[in-house]
Amino acid sequence: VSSVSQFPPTGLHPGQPLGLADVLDRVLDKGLVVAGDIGISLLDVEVITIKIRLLLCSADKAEELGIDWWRTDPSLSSQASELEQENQSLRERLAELEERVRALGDGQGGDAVPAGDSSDDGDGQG
Amino acid sequence: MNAEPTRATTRRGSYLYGVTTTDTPVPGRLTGIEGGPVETVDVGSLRALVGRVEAATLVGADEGDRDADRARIGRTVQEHDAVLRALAAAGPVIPLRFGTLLQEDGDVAAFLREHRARLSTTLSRLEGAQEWGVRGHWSRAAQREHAASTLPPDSATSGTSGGGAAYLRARKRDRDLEVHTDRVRGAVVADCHRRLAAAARDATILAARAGTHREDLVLNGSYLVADDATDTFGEALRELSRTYGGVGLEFEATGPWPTYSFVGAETATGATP
Repeated sequence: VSSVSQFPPTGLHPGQPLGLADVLDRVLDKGLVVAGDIGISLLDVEVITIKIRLLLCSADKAEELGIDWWRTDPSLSSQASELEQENQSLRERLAELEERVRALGDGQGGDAVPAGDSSDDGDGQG
Repeated sequence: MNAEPTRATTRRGSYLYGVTTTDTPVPGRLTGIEGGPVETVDVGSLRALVGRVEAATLVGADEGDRDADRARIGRTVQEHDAVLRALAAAGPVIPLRFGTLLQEDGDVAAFLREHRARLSTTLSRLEGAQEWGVRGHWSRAAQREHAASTLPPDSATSGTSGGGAAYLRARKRDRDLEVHTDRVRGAVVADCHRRLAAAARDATILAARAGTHREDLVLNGSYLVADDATDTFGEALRELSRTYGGVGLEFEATGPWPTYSFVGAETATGATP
């Protein structure tokens, strides 16, 4: 039985929850990343996304997102250890980033603006 | 985890949903994360979709209830997606990575100015097209069965009867079949992706992730399909289903999506020449 006899598919209805796989595949994994721009300060976006991944990777709680189909699929439970590993490396990365954020905050009174650029002119570029 | 929240998560910033063109009409009463208003910042022909969001809204403070944090993320991810979805129906949109929070008021305009050329190029590439996802599911058992039909018979098996030798030959054939199965699956999946990509403007393979995808996932493709080629793409998909459905390879299509997978990973850094 194939689900593609109808294409385009009926699509998501407004308000219908996205699946965890879709959320991770696209909304959290893709999209343009703003990084390293001179004169543009980001609010610790890497910390934010890593924290989100940590939360989502705690698979025992994924049903909080309305996503629990994997729970009833025994083939997936064997992959829990891989997930655990990913989780562990994310934790280490997060700890390191939080350390950096804290260091920035301590050094600059809480404002994580790029070092060495005290003037705020956005006009001199481009 | 730390007991004290990082200062960063208590601050507000300009949340960047995406970038579109000034020709793209913005639906009235468009709301974003936590029901907040979505505003526009225009620079030249570029238009950014912006909201005021607190970093803590996106992840929660460290001392927060993790279950509540998860539920909140579930909502904000959908709210982020919904803004892009509302715009994508009207024109090309570059989705920003979820969680992009700029600190200063002038930063959104500065971002548009700094990357004007690249953003414009990307938007014209996305004009009149949508992203569709195709997943292929194929169990290992069905793959093996399909591969076995094309594995050449072992010439040494004919006319012999020794028990030990027969056992070793059977073991060898099992190993050969495993290798052959991998090769056959690789060729089939490549064929599927190639045929779908041929009907699309652009194509990419998304990461297959243990724990969040079905174990029998063999293809996780995404395709940028021109609006006037949607029927052609659907026909390519049905054709694949006819070709491989009989051997147990099943396809699932999702979309249309905001064009998450076709906007490149990162903006050029400040070091651009």
